[in-house]
Amino acid sequence: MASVHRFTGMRGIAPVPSYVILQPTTLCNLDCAYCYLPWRKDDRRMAPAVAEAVAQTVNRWAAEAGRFSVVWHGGEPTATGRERLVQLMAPFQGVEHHLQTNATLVDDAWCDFFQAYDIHIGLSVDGPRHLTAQRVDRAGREAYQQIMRGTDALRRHGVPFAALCVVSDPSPALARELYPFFRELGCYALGINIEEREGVNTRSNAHAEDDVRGFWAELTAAWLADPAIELRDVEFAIRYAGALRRDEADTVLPRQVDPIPTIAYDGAVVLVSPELAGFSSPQYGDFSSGNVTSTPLSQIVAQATESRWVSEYLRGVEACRDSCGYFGFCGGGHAANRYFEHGRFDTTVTEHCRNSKIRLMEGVLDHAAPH
Amino acid sequence: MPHPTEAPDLADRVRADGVSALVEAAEEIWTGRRNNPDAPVAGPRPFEDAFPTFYQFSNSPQR
Ligand code: SF4
Repeated sequence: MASVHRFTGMRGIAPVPSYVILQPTTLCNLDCAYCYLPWRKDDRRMAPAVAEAVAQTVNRWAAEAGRFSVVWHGGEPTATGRERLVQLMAPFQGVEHHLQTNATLVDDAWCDFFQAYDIHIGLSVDGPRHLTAQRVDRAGREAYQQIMRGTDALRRHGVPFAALCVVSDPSPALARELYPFFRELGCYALGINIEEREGVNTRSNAHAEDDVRGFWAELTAAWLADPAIELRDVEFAIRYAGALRRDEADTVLPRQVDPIPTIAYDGAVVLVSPELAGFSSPQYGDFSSGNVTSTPLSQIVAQATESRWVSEYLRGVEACRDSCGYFGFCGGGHAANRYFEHGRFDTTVTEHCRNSKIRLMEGVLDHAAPH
Repeated sequence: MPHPTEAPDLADRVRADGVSALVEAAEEIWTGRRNNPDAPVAGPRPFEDAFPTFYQFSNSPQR
């Protein structure tokens, strides 16, 4: 394939990330059928000293960068309570705060809090009621009404929110149903995650190629007809197609892999792959690269490739670069998907990359130029 | 090592007229957003604004 070797991005690990992910609690008040988080029933909370240790490095990075994000991601971050969140956020300076929520606990007081601290909100919802049915509480009751109540509160207060939608069964008909729902919901942006086989979720994520391509093609059509939502995945694919047409495809991806430090409640740092936080395996141990309570975060990131699995993953990225025509768009896929699908990190194609990278690009192009 | 069986030459495929029209339509949408900061979508911007966790799909300045 002529185009395979042109790509020069995603080589090695960047010395400074563009954001960090913090887990204020492991607890989630929901128990979604596809959830990959192992400790979601337990309320293991981050101590303020952990956030302070992270902030020591992050504040320096933020001062040197144009922008830097701190993402609060659980469990369910609002289950931490506002008082504790304020304590955890306090040591950070010059950063943007983001929070990913299922919205079930969001009320007027939370909305005031989000506005007061200028927190960017990501909402997890999977579409109309019957599609959100996998989001349930511990008693197995559907969380849909609670999610909608929380979303109403966000709208009432004018808190902008992006939506993240997990799709379990992609098809063209589903795309036609989903887009109007999110249009109505009032999110300014929408990201689609086709369900992944990750963590404790071992359900198969293999789908018929036509269904997945048709899903993305229909989403593209829906977006073009009414482009009020920023449609993350489809817009990125179009951006890439435009760059490729201008022979600028090699400028799309970052030069290096973002280390994306994920800091667990206890200070353990997992690099590159947030989904691996909290897991361990006989071959690789607990995937963590250190703990901020004993080692500065900057040092943990600088030593990223000392971790056996991270260097194996980088070999996998190089294997993708050498073999895959979608590399300039995809950048080599996500580490967790390789691990959970193949049990190792130096492989290439996964069901996840088929669904969310290859067929995304193909589906968008199918819409434009059917073949 | 598994190998992508579905990999066509994307560079050829994006040359189709339909893709040109799609890219133009999208660029018009992005320009429209930029010109209307009060619109639900404020303008072309890093995806990190909405999805900081959207790693590897990034249009933030390249480093
Ligand atoms: S992860 Fe999949 S789509 Fe991405 S470069 Fe590797 S083989 Fe290609």
